[in-house]
Amino acid sequence: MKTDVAINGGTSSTSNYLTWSPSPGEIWLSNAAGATAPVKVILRNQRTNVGGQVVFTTNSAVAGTDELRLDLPPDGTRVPFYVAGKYPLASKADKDAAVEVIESATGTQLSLTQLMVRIRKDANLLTPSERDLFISAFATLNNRGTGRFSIFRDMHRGISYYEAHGFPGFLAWHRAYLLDLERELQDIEASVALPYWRFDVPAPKIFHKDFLGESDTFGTVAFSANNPIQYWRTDTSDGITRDPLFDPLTDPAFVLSESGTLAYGAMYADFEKMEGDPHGNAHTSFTGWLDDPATSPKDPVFFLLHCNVDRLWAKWQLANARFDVTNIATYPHQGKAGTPSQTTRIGHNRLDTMWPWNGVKGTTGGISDRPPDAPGGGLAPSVIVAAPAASPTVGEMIDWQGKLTTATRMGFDYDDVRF
Amino acid sequence: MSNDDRRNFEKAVRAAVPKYSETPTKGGLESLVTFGAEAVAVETSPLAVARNRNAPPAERAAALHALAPRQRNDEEFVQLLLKLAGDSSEPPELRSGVLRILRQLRFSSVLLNQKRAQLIETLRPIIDDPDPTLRQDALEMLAQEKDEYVQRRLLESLTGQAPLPAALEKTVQLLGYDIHAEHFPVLRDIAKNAPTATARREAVRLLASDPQSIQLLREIFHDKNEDQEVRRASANGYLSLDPAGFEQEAKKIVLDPAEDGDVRAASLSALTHFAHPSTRDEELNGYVEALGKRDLPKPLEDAVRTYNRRQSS
Repeated sequence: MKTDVAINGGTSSTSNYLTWSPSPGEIWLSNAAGATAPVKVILRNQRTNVGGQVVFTTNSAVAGTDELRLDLPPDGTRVPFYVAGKYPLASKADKDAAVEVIESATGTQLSLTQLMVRIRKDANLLTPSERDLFISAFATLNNRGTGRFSIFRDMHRGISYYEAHGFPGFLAWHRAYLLDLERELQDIEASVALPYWRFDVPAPKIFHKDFLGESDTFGTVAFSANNPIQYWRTDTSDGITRDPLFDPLTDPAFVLSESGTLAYGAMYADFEKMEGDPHGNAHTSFTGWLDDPATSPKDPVFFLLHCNVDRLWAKWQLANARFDVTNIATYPHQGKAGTPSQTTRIGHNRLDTMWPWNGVKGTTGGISDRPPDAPGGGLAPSVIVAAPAASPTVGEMIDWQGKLTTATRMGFDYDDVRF
Repeated sequence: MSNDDRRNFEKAVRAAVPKYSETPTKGGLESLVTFGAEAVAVETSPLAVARNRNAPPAERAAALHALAPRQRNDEEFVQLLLKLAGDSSEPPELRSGVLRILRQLRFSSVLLNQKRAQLIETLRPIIDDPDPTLRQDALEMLAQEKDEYVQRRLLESLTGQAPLPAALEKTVQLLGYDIHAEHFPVLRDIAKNAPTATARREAVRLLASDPQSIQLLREIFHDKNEDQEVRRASANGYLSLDPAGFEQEAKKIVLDPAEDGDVRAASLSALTHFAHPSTRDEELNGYVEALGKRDLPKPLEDAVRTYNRRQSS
């Protein structure tokens, strides 16, 4: 007797990546071995003391449990369920978690499905293996300046400033930007999730030669001889220029604390001040590429910095229940550019699609105009989720966990932001 | 200001910011406020503190930091920042703090972004300020703006026509924000002849986009008498300009036990991650596999382990 399990709509291992949000699954008897009555099975973690852990439920609105008992029809009819990572027990390696299906009557294992609870983590706490997989994937994406990273570099230049900064859609735009990059990294190494730099506490392991480098007196970043990031190239520049104004071994950056950031207020219109502090202050805790919007994404630390900015937004959303995109407390600019409902710059109203993923081009990139080019095409798709659309709107970037409807989940989560 | 002075100043500013974060922007009753050990009767609104020349610079900078998120598009606030930054009678640590706030506003202020011409005009005189930290901050901000005036000043100083506005190494590095072909002859000269390895390294970094420097980069890569940091920087540029040539040279270096350990490791790392598969041939594979069984310095040991793991997967 044998069962098969499909997670996220697929049966291959490429679909078997989970976050804290419930993922749809199906189970069926692929070999009923002559059974004529429904077969009672138990779904559970194969090992509870190692690897990522998962929980199960039949209703995505109900919290999962460590075991799920189901009756499987002998004719092979598929039975739906949901599976999610068990907060906070994320995987530490690819496919270190496994769902075991046991026949209740006999205790026989009917199938074993390897999967990963893939979560964005504090970069300072990554294992050496997690760190090395991440930097290897990132170096491959850059490929000495010839890889697809150049598209991400081109998305964030001076001429595209107003698409992403100074207006309320700042957080939504960067959430899409990070997700797009993360999915490209996952095409290279599926186990990678973008880590975050928690900038309000010391993070010495990040600014180390084995990770994202150690700055010398002049701000040139040095890497260990085995680190592939030493071959980083952007535009016509080799290497990275980054000079911390703080001591990265012992001090945080010069930013507002996490608790101070979350205390900006329960309305988005108050919270968006975080664009200045801590976001802007995190950037300008350095001189070099990070401290200018036009050059900042040339430094890989940019993406870890913004991952923390996004994590802070996610924490604020959870703390204030800000997932309903139609609620002005969640996002105040509910209209669409070019209509009477427009209340802010094009690209920043809830119903506006965002450059560059919408492919719309302008002339000058000025405050009321689009940039002359739209690099990269649509936002990278995912094997495990359907959201957001290839040309996402601002509003589509709000409910990343699919709290209100599972269809909007985007396939990422943070190690300290539960579902 | 030394780097330590600057860090200590920024720490003092950050510690004082909460004091001003909730107070009204303007107005406020006169009261006794304790600045450190001294009680001073002042108007306590953040703007008043920022303007008060008798208040300690860290308090003034803290008041401005506290205001920045909510006043980022306020004309009076932005003009105050520009005025303080450009006023040579103000303390240099305050002006440095103000430049940092202006850099922060580049990320979040639509108003400041529309005043880039005024920002450049404010920064230009600062590159001749007596304080080296202020000079360097202004130089870098102008270089980031691709300001033609500062580009010309940097190049003139590197060709000996004017004094260096910052350390040689930093001056070379700043040229990289807007590199042009006309810079390459100067940079080649610095790469060959500069008195410090760091200056040579900075010049080599910028030659990575100059096809006429392939031979120079190859020579530096092979020069066992050159500093390993300079050799590794040349590896980067050589790899970019002539990948096939680099791969053959890198392989020779890996196979040479008399070579510098870090340069061997860096070469092997490049071959592991970026080389054409044909370069990772039987000779190299066999040699590196054998290396994996020996005691090696850590960087080379790590590079060998990574290479062998990739080959076996």
